[in-house]
Amino acid sequence: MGNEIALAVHGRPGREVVVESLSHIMTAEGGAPAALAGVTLRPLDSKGGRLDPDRVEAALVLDDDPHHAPTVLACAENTHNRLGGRVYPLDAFVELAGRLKRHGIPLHLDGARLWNAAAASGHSTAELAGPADSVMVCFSKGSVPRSDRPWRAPRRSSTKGGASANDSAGACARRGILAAGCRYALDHHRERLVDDHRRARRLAELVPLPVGASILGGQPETNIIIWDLPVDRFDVFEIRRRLALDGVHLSDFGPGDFGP
Amino acid sequence: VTHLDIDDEGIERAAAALAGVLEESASRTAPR
Repeated sequence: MGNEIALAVHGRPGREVVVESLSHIMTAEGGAPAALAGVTLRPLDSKGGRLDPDRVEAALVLDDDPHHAPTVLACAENTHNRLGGRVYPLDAFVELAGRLKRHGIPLHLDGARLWNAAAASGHSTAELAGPADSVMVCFSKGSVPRSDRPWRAPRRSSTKGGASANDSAGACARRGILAAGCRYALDHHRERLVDDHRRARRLAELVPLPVGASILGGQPETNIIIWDLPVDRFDVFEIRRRLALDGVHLSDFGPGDFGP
Repeated sequence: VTHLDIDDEGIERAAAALAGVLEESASRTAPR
């Protein structure tokens, strides 16, 4: 929901937002950028989530041609979820922000795992978010138990497209209870994120890679490991079912090209 | 409880479970 607020604050209907092609805003927010902010998204491929400032600059629409959707915002994600929890290097982020500033384009940071990025990089969250004009953070990523139900609006079958966007936007019931958990996490859980990262690396080391399989992006930098399995040899649904019986739960990113 | 509460022993058990399932899945579909 925080990302959608940022898009609505920075954007206007009929305007364009530059995003990374596998970013959460692009792939996993239920069409909300169009439904709530009315913006179109311009996806750009990246290297490990790091946008090429030259490509971003070239993608900006800065003219007043009525055929075009003017760029109003660019977004980056740190750490990058679908690319395996990669940290956006601070110097690269500073350069990106500087390029955008030349053109008066603000930069929004999807910092759902910003605390993980800080723990892994040694930079403070203030340093990591400083170059951005807005930032979203997410307490449920390793700090507070997920609270899907209180934050999710009921699905309404009569408004198919709108219901999806509403689900992403969420309804903030019981927010006082959630806020208490967030405060507790800030005081007690942040220092434990380095343990989480160490255990992710250990898990990656302990699981032998089957032939043809790989870990996206190499060894994990933070708390996400994405095993890239050949779909013609592995039944991911069955793997997940079997593991769940042992109390081990995996997320399935589905088939697709996840880039370099 | 959050996933931060998965301790080193839990990681080792998860790794063993995952390794076993992957190995079994790979052997079942290996070219003959």
